[in-house]
Amino acid sequence: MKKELIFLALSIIFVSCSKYPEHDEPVGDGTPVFYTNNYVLEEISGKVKKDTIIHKTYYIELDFLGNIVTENTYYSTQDCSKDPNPYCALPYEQKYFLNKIKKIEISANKPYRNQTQEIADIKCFFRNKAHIYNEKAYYGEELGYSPMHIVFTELPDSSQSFIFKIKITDDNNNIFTCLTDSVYIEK
Amino acid sequence: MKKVLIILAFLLMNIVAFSQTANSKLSLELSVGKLFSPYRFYKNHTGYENINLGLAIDMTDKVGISVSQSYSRAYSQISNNRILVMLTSINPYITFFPENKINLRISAGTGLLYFYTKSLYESYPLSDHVFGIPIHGNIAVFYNINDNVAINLNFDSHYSFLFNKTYKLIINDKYYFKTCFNSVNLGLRYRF
Repeated sequence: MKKELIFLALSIIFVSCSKYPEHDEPVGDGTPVFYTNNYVLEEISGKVKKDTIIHKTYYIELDFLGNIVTENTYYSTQDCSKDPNPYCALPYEQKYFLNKIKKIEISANKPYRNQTQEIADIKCFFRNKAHIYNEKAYYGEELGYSPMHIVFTELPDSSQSFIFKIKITDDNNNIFTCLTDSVYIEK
Repeated sequence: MKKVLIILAFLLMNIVAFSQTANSKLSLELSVGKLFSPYRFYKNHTGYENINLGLAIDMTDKVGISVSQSYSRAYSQISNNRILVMLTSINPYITFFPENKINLRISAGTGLLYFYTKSLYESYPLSDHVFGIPIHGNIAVFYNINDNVAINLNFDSHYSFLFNKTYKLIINDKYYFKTCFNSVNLGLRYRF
């Protein structure tokens, strides 16, 4: 009886702590594993892909920068130098931003439509962990994976160059702003 | 939570009542030390103080049962996250060499793990209450100063199965839901 109890106690104390977590996508040998860490937003930056673009293909790519709040330590602490597998590839971090959006405001540096600088009608495309963009109403949504795409549904009054100012307010009333590079938008 | 506390209180009362009828000895233990979080999801958290309060009842010279409550803290510099870990457990135990000046006690049990996790970024405060069921193991060495007082050195480990997620945890993996904390404590035992 005594031996069994000792064995039970020791088994519990020295029980193995190693279990493998799931990663974001199924992968093969040599392909980096994608995993997710949660972040809170500190800064945003808006990018435009080209100097000149026609309106219907134009979108702003909004990148998020921030501070990590929960860390997937299984993947973030992996070290290929200790792995005997010659195809070992370091896992690839995907950043998920937890801030919930209250408001997104975009304005141009000159009148965009109907003599106003504010862009009234936008569509937000949120990226998921499989790198697919889905359109969603932004209110109450978490920022999610970086980057986000913002599309203007309205045409400008005339073809010209614009610089856009993007302002995001989160549910804790933090305000994040950025300016895009100048872009010539054709109607 | 309320139900669990009522059950624990009920068990404690039963143990005390049983101990009185069985002519057993009651002892109170208080120890302080350090928490270690070397494995799994919280392995980048540095453990700080650990305080352990226990009530032990010897049913016979060698066998008994203890109820323990521990508090500890850990902090991760990487994620600027602090956790408060509280463990309540009931542990049957066996004492080896009870007649000697130095005794060894091995106990194992279960109870309730509660921890409060808080992100310390002021711009976007996040916090959560997390519950789990632990498997708790403890090895304690006692040095008896006299019949009533002993110095104890505890090695403690709990492997816990967590119920709920922290924040919107999209790390949907077993690595998080089973977590492990260890501690080493030094303290005193008083036998009534």
